[in-house]
Amino acid sequence: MIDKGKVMNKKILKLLYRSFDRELSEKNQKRLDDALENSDELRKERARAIAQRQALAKSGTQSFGPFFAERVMGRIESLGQTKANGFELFYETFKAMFQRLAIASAIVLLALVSYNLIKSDILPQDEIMFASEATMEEILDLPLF
Amino acid sequence: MERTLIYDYDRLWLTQEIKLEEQELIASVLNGNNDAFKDIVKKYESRVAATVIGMLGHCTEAEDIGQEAFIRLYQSLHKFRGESSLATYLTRIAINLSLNEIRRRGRHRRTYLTNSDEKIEKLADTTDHNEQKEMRELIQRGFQKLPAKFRSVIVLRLIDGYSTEETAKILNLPVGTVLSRLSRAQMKLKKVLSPLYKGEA
Repeated sequence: MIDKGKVMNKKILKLLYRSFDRELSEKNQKRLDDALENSDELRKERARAIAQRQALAKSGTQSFGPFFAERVMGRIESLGQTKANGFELFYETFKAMFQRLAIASAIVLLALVSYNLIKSDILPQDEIMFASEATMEEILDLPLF
Repeated sequence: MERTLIYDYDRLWLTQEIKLEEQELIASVLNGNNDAFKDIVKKYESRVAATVIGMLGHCTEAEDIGQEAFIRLYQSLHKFRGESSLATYLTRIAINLSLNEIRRRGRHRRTYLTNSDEKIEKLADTTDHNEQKEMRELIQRGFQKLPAKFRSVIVLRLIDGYSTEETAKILNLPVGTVLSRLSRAQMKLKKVLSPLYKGEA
């Protein structure tokens, strides 16, 4: 069996607590006022609840201690450095990995370009070797003395 | 009526002043001025501390979470559109980080608070009722025993001083849920602190 008095009290208590945070409807406000008028216990409860709320509100002035802002800025700066260090580390690894490959590629590329130039007669092999053959006319044209 | 209008006008003017100041600070940070961000940290430290310490209690993790809240703000400042105040934006970050920390604690089954049950009972026996400070400490300890969902509404509504509508917006909850959690939280707190009240009686 439900204790009607207890259920009633719980409802009134709910109204009491709600009244601190929101305006009650006229009907509910009257109900609460009547209950407060007739119950010494409820009045005590209201005083207790107000004290409780005030105590909690007063605990709101807090601090993380001196130099908190400096500590936060220190962490932000170290985050920036970590990012920069990360980039540097990536660059160094990249450089080490591809340095040899880059040199080898450059040699192969140079060889290919040279081969193509020679093949297409833009740069004749004789001229490269400085060994062009003299023609008969050139020989006859040479002065004897 | 006239007084209300003047008050509202003053409040509006003050809000706009704060917004302008905030916008200037944000623009300065985005232009690479880190000193401006330091000013933001100094300005909002107490608000973030109230939220985080309110949620987690005094513990070493609280400062880490506080720092993390400001770092997250710094990293997302370019996304801040000014729809809410910077303080509200920061509070939202702080409360979410605190809730994550509480979840993490739950997963690791770690309790940072020391046997608060015993302490409440002990202190209830020995409390000098004239000492309000001690009473506040007791309530704080009792408060730390509440589940996170009740703590968050109490922190935002009572400690940070947000309205029920603002609290609902920050927590992304309907106003009715916030109101219900507020009254349930007070009832639970009363239950947790009952040894103290027995002592009073």
